Amino acid sequence: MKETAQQTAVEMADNFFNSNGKIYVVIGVVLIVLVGIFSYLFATERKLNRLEKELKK
Amino acid sequence: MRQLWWKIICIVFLVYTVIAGFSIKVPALYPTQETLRNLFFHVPMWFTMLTLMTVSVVYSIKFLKSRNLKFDVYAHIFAHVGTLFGVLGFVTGMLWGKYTWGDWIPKDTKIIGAAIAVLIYVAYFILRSSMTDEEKKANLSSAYNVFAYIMLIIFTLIYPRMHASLHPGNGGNPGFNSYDLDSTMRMVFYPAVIGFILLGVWISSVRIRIEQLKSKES
Repeated sequence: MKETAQQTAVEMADNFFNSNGKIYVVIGVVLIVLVGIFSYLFATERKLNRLEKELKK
Repeated sequence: MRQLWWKIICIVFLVYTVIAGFSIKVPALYPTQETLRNLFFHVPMWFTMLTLMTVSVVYSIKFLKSRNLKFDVYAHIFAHVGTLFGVLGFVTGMLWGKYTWGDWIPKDTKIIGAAIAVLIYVAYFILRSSMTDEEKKANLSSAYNVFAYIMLIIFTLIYPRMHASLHPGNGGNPGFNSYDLDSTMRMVFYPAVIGFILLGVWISSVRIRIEQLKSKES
């Protein structure tokens, strides 16, 4: 019994990105786009902070 | 506006919107089918645009009262980012409309109204770029911005409700409850709206800081 339960668990993890017509791949792609946009915004803000400090001197 | 907490809320809500927006079950309806999920991405564009334009007109009125050029910069940038979201709303709506209503731009009161509203704001930017005197530019464009905002409200919120429209919640039937929103969809829709509005404010704040640096340099 224990063995079967483990096997199903492994199978579920394996098939996550292939389930539901591979919709989770789309979620992954959109999340990567979001992470890219947010990192870019933070990087721009860091640059602005530096420029503002330089101009104050 | 430089605190971190509201940016974290923005990120959390948008990540949640993407994950939940794609994985929850949506009502099986025709002709929307799975495109009903566009509600989480297309509609917040317009909510964000309306919010940013409201902030913009408030700063324009503040400028007209105080004649402080700082407020005119705020009004300009918020209208600018608001227009970006308006264009995004329009383009996403075109794609959605093509596959549900059968046309890229159906002859619909809300679509035509939104197009006119965006064009009125384009005229605002043309008006600004046509003047070099800062005071004159700020005075004229602030007054115009008040007019543009009133036209925006008329063309996107009032006029579509007076006539038949393909969009839900229009044609003499205003109000939120007439949307075919079931309770699980609301749980994603409201965070999506808040997340995108915060993203719009975030982009605006970055642009405002750039403008301020530019004016300091010269």
